[in-house]
Amino acid sequence: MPLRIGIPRALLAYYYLPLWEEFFVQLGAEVIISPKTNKELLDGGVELAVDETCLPVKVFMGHVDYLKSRADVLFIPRIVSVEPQKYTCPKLLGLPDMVKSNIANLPVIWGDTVNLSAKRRDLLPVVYRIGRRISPNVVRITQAFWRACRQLRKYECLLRRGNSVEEAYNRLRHRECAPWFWTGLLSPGPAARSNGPSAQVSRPAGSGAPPITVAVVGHAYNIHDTYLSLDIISCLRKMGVNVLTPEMMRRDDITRAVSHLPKQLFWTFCQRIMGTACHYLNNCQQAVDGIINIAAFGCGPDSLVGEMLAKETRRRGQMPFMLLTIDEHTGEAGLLTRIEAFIDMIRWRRQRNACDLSPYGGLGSNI
Amino acid sequence: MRVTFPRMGALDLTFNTLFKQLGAEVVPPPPATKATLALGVKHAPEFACLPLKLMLGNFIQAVELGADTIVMCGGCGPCRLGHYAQVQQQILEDLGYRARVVVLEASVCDLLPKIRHLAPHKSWREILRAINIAWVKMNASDGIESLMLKIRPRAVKPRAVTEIYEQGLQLLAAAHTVEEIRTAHRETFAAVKALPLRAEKPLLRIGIVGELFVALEPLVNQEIERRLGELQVEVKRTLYVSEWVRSHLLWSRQARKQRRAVKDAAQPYLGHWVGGHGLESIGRTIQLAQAGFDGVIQVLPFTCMPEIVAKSILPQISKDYGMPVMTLVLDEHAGEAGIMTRIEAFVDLLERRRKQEDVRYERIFGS
Ligand code: SF4
Ligand code: SF4
Repeated sequence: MPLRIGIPRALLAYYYLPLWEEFFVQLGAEVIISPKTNKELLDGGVELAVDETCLPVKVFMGHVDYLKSRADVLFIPRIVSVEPQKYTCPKLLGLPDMVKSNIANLPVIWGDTVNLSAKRRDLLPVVYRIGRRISPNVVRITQAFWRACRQLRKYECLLRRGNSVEEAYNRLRHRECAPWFWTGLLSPGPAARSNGPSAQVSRPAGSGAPPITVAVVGHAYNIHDTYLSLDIISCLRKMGVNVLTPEMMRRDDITRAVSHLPKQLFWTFCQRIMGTACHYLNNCQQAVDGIINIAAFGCGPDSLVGEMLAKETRRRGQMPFMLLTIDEHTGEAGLLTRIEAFIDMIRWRRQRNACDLSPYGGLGSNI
Repeated sequence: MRVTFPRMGALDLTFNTLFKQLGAEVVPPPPATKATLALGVKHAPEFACLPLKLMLGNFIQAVELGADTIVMCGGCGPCRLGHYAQVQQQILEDLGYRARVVVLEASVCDLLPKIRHLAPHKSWREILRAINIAWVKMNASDGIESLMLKIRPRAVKPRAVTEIYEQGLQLLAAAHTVEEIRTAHRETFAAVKALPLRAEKPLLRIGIVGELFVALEPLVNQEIERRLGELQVEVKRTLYVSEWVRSHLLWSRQARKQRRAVKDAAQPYLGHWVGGHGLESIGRTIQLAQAGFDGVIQVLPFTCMPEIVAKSILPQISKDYGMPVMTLVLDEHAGEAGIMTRIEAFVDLLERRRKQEDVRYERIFGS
């Protein structure tokens, strides 16, 4: 019987799941992924985690709890850093240890440390160490890793083309990506244009007017978790709004957009959030009509990044900005009302076409 | 140039001396009070950590007193401390205060040039002399503090100890040369030694671990050390700034060895540093348990990321080593009464445990 490896569909899995899954599958293991977050998983997680942790970590505990009786091994890497001189977040640094002390009766945990803060090459020893546990064949591990990387590239390509994480993942599984991927390479699509927006989603708008575009910025495990964010992406799309997320950005756009900051953020994913918002602030006229920042309750980095973003937006005037904090009690109705109000405000602004009106007078204030 | 700096426990003595010796005009921030905290809370992001808020309050008060240069510590992640300075500067700017924030990163290579910059008219010799005097003073004040923790529970009148402590700090503040500092130090020690002590009996011993700032700042920790001392508990604080300087800036061999020991002790529970003092909290708790302490109190500011990781793990250690651990989460709403009740209850618990143990001991070995 093949080894059953459990991967919680939470936290960094939203960024790297295709890589991990493909790697293990290629090595001949069976991969069990927890279902999408739902009420039981969340409640279970809230029960297990300490009160003060952030919402996503609580959710993570719920996923681990679900998997613990269904898998032989849990893959919970300690991802310290994914690029030089940057880190993820202290809680992710301690993730496997927190899991071990919060949850009883766990199977074996693979909590390998991934620390690329010195150089990216440091990933390889980790890959072989993990691979060797499943297969002694070095060639096979190399091949599996190569395929996994390709899978990740395809996934990121799909994301950049405006898919949500769920859509991208499903497309990838159904091998829908091949033609997309190749066309992407052959003809420079919108994603490759250097000064245009990194991604554009065109969707039929209700009326003849050009559709409204909103950048939703936040950690992928918040905005793309359909339960936590109450599926804000589909919500907005149903209103005929184009949605852009940090995952749809090219990395160099991000780096360029934040180059004016006095100190670069040392949190990789927050840097992306900040970069996305700044990118659209820089060319605010053409690209997006508003920015929604989604922060998780109890998130440390978000508390500072949210503040920086709000200040940055205020400084540049013009752009409507809304901060939504999600916690385990976020009610669907309340969130929806606020989003609707925000979109209405944008529509109204457009109609008046009044650039001289302060976006902070009304509903779009930094709440 | 009128320099100010963040306040943290008795650390202002050191900074004051350092900058005075460097020839700068110093505007020490007024002692932190509820008003300072309220000021910080009002202007800081809601979920920022408490140290940021209190420091911001300090800065506003100091700038209003005429300071125009703020010296602040930096950091390179992954904890929020590294971005404090930028956020604070932005907030101050938005409030209309004109002050320059000079960020000192925690490395000697960065520190010396910046200090040089603060004291343009001084020779390197004088700068080093200033640093030396500040360093001697820091050690003296830490030495006095740790003596207080020993004597207070044993003294007949614990209040008298506190008085001597305050006098000692004043003496230190008035001392300007290494000789004077040594004298002040000696005098305070002599005064403490002259105090009448109670008859020797085994005292309860409690260790304090957690986040440096809240452990040092009496305003936010509600003078927990004094209160414990007055309840006749011997307190061992594991956090001293001089220790930190020794291990992070001076790289002293002994401090490094100690750090390694802490890391090794923590290894089974937390396999990686998590920023801040997270790893130290775990390692020190284990060391204290091994040294036979009766209990440990962890103090942390609300939403502190590294300490939340530690907090998740501490219950496990407490169970494995059979030593009670109490966690005090401190925020701007923490009431004096609530904390006092919890401390008393904890001390009661430890006393009861000790009695039970004595009874058990007698039963086994007879008397
Ligand atoms: S970045 Fe925020 S949400 Fe993510 S693990 Fe860290 S604290 Fe939690
Ligand atoms: S250690 Fe905790 S309190 Fe200090 S900066 Fe980091 S998160 Fe904030």
